[in-house]
Amino acid sequence: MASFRHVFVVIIGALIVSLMFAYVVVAGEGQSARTDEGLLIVTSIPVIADIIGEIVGDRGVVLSIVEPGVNVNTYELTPRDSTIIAEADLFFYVGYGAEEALGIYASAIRGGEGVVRILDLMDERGVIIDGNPYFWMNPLLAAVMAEEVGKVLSSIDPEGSEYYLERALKFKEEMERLDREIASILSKVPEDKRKLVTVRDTMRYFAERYGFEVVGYVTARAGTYEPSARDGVELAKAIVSNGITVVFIEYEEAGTTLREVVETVVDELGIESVGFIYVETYDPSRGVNGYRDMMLENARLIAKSLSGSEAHSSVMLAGGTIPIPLEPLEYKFMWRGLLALLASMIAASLVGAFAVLRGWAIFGDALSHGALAGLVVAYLAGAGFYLGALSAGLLVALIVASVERRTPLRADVIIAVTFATMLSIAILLLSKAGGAAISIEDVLFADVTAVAPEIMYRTLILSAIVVVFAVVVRYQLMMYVIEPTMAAALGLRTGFIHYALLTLLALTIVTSFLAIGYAPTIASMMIPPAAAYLLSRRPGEFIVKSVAIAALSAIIGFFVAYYLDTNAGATAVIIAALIFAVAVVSYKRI
Amino acid sequence: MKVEVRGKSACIVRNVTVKYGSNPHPALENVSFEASLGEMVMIAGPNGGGKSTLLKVIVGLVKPVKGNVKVLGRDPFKDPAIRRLIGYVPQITDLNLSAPLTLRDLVMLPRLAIKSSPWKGPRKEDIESVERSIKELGLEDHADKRISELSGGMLARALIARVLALDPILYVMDEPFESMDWESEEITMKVLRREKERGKLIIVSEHHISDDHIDYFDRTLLLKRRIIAEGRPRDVIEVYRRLGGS
Repeated sequence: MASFRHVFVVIIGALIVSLMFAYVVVAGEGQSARTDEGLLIVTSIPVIADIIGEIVGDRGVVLSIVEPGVNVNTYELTPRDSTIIAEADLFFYVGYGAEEALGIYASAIRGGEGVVRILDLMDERGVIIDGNPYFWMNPLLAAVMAEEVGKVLSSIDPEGSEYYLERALKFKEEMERLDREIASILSKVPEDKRKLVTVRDTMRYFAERYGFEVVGYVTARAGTYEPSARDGVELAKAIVSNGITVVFIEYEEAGTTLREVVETVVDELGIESVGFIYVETYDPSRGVNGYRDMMLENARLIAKSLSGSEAHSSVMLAGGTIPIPLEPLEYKFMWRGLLALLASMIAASLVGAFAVLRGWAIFGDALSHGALAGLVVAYLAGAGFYLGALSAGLLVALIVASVERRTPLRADVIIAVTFATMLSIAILLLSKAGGAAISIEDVLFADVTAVAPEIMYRTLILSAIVVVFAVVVRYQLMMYVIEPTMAAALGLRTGFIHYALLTLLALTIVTSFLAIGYAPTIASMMIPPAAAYLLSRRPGEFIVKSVAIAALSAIIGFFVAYYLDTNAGATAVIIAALIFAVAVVSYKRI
Repeated sequence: MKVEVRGKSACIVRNVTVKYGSNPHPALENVSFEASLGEMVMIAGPNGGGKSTLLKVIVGLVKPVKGNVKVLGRDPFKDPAIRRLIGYVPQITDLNLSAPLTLRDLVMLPRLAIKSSPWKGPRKEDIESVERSIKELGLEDHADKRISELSGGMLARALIARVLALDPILYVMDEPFESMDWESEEITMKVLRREKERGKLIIVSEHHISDDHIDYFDRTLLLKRRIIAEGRPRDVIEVYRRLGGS
């Protein structure tokens, strides 16, 4: 009966704590966004809100769900925002990439009523080129959008239709003035310098309007994108062949993997990257207070960066001297990627082999999400990301390790509990902070083709530590992971081994994440050991084969990815999975 | 390692009381006994009588709330190094049976874990000791089988072989015959008697043992939270049966 009473007390306690928590979070946020008079128009991103605000004028209020300066990718829906979306008279969104998700949320919340996709309106006017969503980078098209929005507003507020028409005309005149102003700012850019390289294909409409040519970007895709092994190399080639000296970084890409790809290439070629170009948001903290400001700011940045008289890039293409199979290694950053991938996969598969025998196979998931929470805290506290991720990773390891030693709960249960909790903490922090200016996931989920030298060295050092530790205490480790009680009865320091193994796991996973990304790290911990398990009868053989399969997958995956133009980390994982599949098919039960 | 190996002091359990968690009833209450090298002691008693707990106390896996234990002059709980001289066979093992391990690896691994240098790997004496132990327990035809392919009786013998390969001074075995048939029990008994002749102390907990082997033990303790009888195996078993045990 005593234990039943305990459970009861715990449940009641948890309920009280969650109610108090809910009260604290909701308190002070109870007031509705609704004003008693006028329209409430809600939009996805600030730039759209600003343009629509020009039309709505004093007939209502326009709000953006994502605040200025915040990356739409990091936005997490809160109950309060859902309420605002539900109460709005209309919800406007553009309809591209991660931003489209907000339109999907809004449709769900509002049962599909009063949700307007701006790209559909613009498509009907025939102004969209190849589905590229960034039409507002041409102010004349922003005026077109304003006119269309005016029509939609008139349909729900007929009394105001004349007012909206008048505002749209006035806005159009304003945009024509802005257009002339931008053209005049850009007039000092010489003809041969009118070439743009950006992170994504955001400057298409701008370039077309002002006589520029977009010659390179990492990807034309607007949504979530993992760089392929070739993206960096192709970007480098475009930069070199066009004599580019400056690459422009979009504000939204400040902390993304794609930006890292650009910076890696820029570093190696010895040219410059400048920021920021404002596309989907502006940043009042930098004195950029709306659509007009950001367009002028962009024009000034481009004019300043491209009108200098410095000589063209002196970078030469090394191509032609490198034999075809080694073409991916033409650039140093590709070497760094290969080494980081190899070192990470070796370390992860080695600790993974022991972890799998101990029943900790899913530990990587707990750590990745623990690290995510740590990154959010580090970001909000302005601390270093590696430090944040590592502290959170070690905390997860410590929690799992101590709960496992104190209770009879199985490791997989403890790991699953920890991982779900840490993930929720990350989401909670992000939602409370209203999102972040950078994409936290991008920091966590790095990419093989964008490995900075210090990250490569960090990865190599860590792998060396893991390999040395595993080799020196291999017998004790093996004894411990296959039979902890016997290890203790033999007088081994099982407490030390237990915590050391979990600490190394945490170190390996966090370091690998920040070097090669999430999927390759988690996969290397499990797939090579799983394949090796089927191909081995003895413990030494098992460990050696795990590491060999990981190393082989890294090398083959890297080159295959280059020639297939796919993501290197993911390709390496697929190679390992293929080896696993072969092992499954050829496995014979004795 | 310097250890005291004088006769009576090989294993001393003094006034030991063990409690688990919030359970108000102690698993062991004021238990005392001594055993010397060259002895073969049987701990008998009902399920839940504290046999496994007593053995874990001797091995240093469980800390008594009262009393103390000295194995070869040291406290095995505070001084884990002394455990290397104890060959422990647990009743319930948490061995990961799906691990990629052959019977030979299973016998070899503990020896490597406590005796070998990381740079050299298995030495000649390690290999000889392992092969000898495997042979003595009649497992040589199964040495290359993965442990997941062994029968219960075979695995039980393998667990004896691996403590034998450690060449310990004390054997502490928790119901080692439980999943053994008569033949395995016979083989194991033969090995244990030889070890006793070599001056080792052997402590075995047993619930039911075949009549043929009872007389090999020098002494039997009847344990039911406390030691309620001690003496020649047949006499103690007789007491046990009269008290309603089987």
